[in-house]
Amino acid sequence: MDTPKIFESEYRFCLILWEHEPVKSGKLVELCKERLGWKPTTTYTVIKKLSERGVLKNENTVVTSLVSKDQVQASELNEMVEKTFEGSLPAFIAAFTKHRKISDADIDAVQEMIDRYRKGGSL
Amino acid sequence: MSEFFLSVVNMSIAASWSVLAVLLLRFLLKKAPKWITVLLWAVVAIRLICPFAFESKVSLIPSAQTISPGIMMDTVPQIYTGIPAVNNSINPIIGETFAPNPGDSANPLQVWIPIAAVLWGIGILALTVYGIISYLRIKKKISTAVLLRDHIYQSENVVSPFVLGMIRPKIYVPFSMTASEMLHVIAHEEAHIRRKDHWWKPIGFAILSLHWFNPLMWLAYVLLCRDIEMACDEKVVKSLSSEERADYSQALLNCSVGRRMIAYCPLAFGEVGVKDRVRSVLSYKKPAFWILAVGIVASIVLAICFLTNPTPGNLGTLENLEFISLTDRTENTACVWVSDGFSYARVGPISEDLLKELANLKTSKEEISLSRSEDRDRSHTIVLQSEKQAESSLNSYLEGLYIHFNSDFTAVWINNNVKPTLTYKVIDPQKAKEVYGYISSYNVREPAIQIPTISSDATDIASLKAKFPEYFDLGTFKGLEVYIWQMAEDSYSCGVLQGVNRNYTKEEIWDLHKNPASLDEMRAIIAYYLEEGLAVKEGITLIPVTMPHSSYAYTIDDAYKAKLNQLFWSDFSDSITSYTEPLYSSLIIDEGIFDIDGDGKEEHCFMSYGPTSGIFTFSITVFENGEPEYFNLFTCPWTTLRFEITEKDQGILARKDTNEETYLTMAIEDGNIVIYSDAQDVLYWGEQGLDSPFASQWIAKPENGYFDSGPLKTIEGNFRTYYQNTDGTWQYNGYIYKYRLVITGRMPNAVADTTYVYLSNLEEISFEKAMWASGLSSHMGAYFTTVEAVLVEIYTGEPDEATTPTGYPSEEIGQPQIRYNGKVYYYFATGFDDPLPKDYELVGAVADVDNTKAPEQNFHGARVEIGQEIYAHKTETDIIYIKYENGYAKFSIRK
Repeated sequence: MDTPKIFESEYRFCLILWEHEPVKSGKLVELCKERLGWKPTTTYTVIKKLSERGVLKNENTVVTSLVSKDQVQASELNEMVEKTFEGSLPAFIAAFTKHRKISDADIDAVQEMIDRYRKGGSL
Repeated sequence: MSEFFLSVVNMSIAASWSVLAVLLLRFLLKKAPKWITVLLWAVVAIRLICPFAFESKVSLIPSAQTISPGIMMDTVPQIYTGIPAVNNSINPIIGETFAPNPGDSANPLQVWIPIAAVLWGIGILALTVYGIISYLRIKKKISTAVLLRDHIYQSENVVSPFVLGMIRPKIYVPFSMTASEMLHVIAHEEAHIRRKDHWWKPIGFAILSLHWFNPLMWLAYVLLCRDIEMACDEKVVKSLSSEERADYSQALLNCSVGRRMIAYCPLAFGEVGVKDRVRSVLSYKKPAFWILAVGIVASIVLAICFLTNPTPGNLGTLENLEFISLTDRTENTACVWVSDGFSYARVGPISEDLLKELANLKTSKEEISLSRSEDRDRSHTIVLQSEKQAESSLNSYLEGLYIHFNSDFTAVWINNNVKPTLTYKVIDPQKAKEVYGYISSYNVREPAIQIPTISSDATDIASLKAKFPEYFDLGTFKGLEVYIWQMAEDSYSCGVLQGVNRNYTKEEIWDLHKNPASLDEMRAIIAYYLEEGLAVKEGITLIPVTMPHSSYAYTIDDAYKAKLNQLFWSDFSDSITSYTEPLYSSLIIDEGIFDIDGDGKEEHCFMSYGPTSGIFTFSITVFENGEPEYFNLFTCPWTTLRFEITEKDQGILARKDTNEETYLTMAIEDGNIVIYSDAQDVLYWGEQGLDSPFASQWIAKPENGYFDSGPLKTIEGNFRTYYQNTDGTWQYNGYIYKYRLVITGRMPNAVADTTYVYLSNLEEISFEKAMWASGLSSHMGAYFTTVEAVLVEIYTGEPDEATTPTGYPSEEIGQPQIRYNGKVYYYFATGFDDPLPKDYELVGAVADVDNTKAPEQNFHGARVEIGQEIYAHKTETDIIYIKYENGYAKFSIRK
């Protein structure tokens, strides 16, 4: 059976689940609020999504997992990153930097700048 | 909505200038900390949202209102960029492209501007929707972000760290970051939060969406974002060691690259390349104090220069006229006139304060028309004259400074008769109207005339000659007339004029007050004439007069005359008893013919000045069939009065106070004229009625050219109605004329002769003089005085026998007339063989003719034939045509 894909945030959720299962969804909400900072609606949404994906089951408000920790494929985590977030941030968001495609040449040039600086040389 | 749009456009244009200035400063202040640059953008932002600004002289904004809100109504749309070169190149194009077509009432901009406003609204909506959608999408993506610590969250959906949330800002970072990266990234984002960038960026975006049409604003926003990032970098980096800086730079590089994404793509325009940021970070040095100081000072200067609006100019300094300096001269502005574009009225010298108010009226610095023509709008004119100009202006063109306002006081231009100025916009038309109102209601009675104190020893002829040059060297062959008016109980003023064949006008006598002599001085002057043999005592006539500004003599009766006689001549060795009747200022103000008492017959009513000085009084005398029927004296505040005949043929009084005309009704009650006034300030004065002492003096007398109460023969000349007296003299407006002159001649370039009919006391009038005096001349001296002559008829072509008044019995009507459609149309005296103009249709024929009275029913007439066809126009109801043997004659209603 194919292990269902789990995002990193969902993985964190599952960690809590594995620790406390079987657990009432209400209690789960509390735990998520405390540990993850999630709003109750978020927790319920995630429970629903994961249950659709077959990661857990929710019977009579009691949640139990259907996959174990070992089974979750860590390597799949990173793949999700690029596909889920398309495009850059809107102009009015204060960001560290835009995620821009940058040429090989420039990457190398900047890296070189930094390395030289570390060595105490000129820019 | 269009108005709001235009004001946003104006703000955008004004702010664009500041953007250019900031661009320049940014370049010059490269070495200064970036937070200063960000402040400069704040200045721009304020300009973009705040439509108001203080005015200052150092404002560098060329124009705070490039597009006037009224541009849609202009017949020649223009913009005022504040730069003449730009105006002159753009405005002709705009004027042509958007000029209304002749016949259109709308200027095309009335259509285009609202369309533009709607498009603008759509643009704002689009940007706002984009913003909202983007925000919601991000929120969704980070809904499952997990708390790292404090307000920092991690999510697999975050690639590049950012801050979200305006009230409780949270930092969102990816999962896959090294500890070092995490450290620096979070430091940068915290810096954003401390600088409140999570407010400024969204606010900036909102402002940008208002001004989306202005490409400079996009540039400004992009640069603002750049500067914000670099300011944050600076804030973090200044407290980092060099190794930490290298780590920071590494973090920058890693985050913008992403672990596995390497592809070739050019950097987007405006994005601060990682390269530049890394370079800045690595080479960051704390700025020297002086750079900081310069930067701050430059920002303050920029703020003042670009956050303030230019001050408007004012009237007194338009094109360096500096007429306010008139109040600094030792002599005041001696004379001020106002005009409504046709006639000039003197209002006397005005106070310095009022003159200053006039000079300080604010105007646009920029002209609104490039014309220097003298034919511009002169609906409200003020003329300022210095003493010298006032003196030289008596009977000719008024010299002085002409200030012309248009009909609604929105525009002004000035003519100093050397070079007229351009036209300027009046910033506060209401204020201008007010000032004009004050000036035009200033009158001669205001204490502006200085009564010179004369010492009783001023009998030295040389000094008298210097002081009163106009009272010497007078021609004495017709004697001298000494006018005396009383200013106070023991104070008299005098003037002298040479004797002439006519009576001097009220204006000429009043002008004597400008340079009045004391009794002593006048005695000395008269003595001089007598001693030199230039005049004899019998030739000197004393004439007591009342002047409006003198407040003493109310009645000039026999006792008064005797007293004055005694007073003046008592210093002379011979006592002279000759004097003539005092010349009252009882000249007629206006006359009218209407039924005042409702008896079905029209009376002849005269309005004259009353017997007082110091108080304004007037009398109304009513004649019916040549006999005086009513006489009443009234007083009211100084005003201009005239008769007016309403559509219902009712006579009323029109009263004009400071450009406002109100109407008063008259009626007869108990044998007296009663005047009804809203203001309740028209009151009876003195004794009333035909038997009052005033009546005997004030009812116009036959001598001296006054109204002849003998039987009237009315003649309706096509210009004025006049009367023929039984003794062969003629009269008009209470004046008697010896001759009726018919003067025919050919005007230059005319195809037919023009005939002028004048009533005249002059034996002869040349055609040229008749022509100029008929209204063609702009030269005041070209006109006849009322006593000399008055124009009563004028027509082109041969004078038609049918219109000459001789030959009709006095009871009959002279002028052909027809009643049609409730109005009486009179023969226009343009001949009986005109062609019938287009669109005139046959509406009927003359049904009845009665030459003894004005027609009272439609299709009845006088001096026409039964059966003559009548032609009328559908819309042009003032003129009808009557068919004659050889053509048509034009008949018109009398206005």
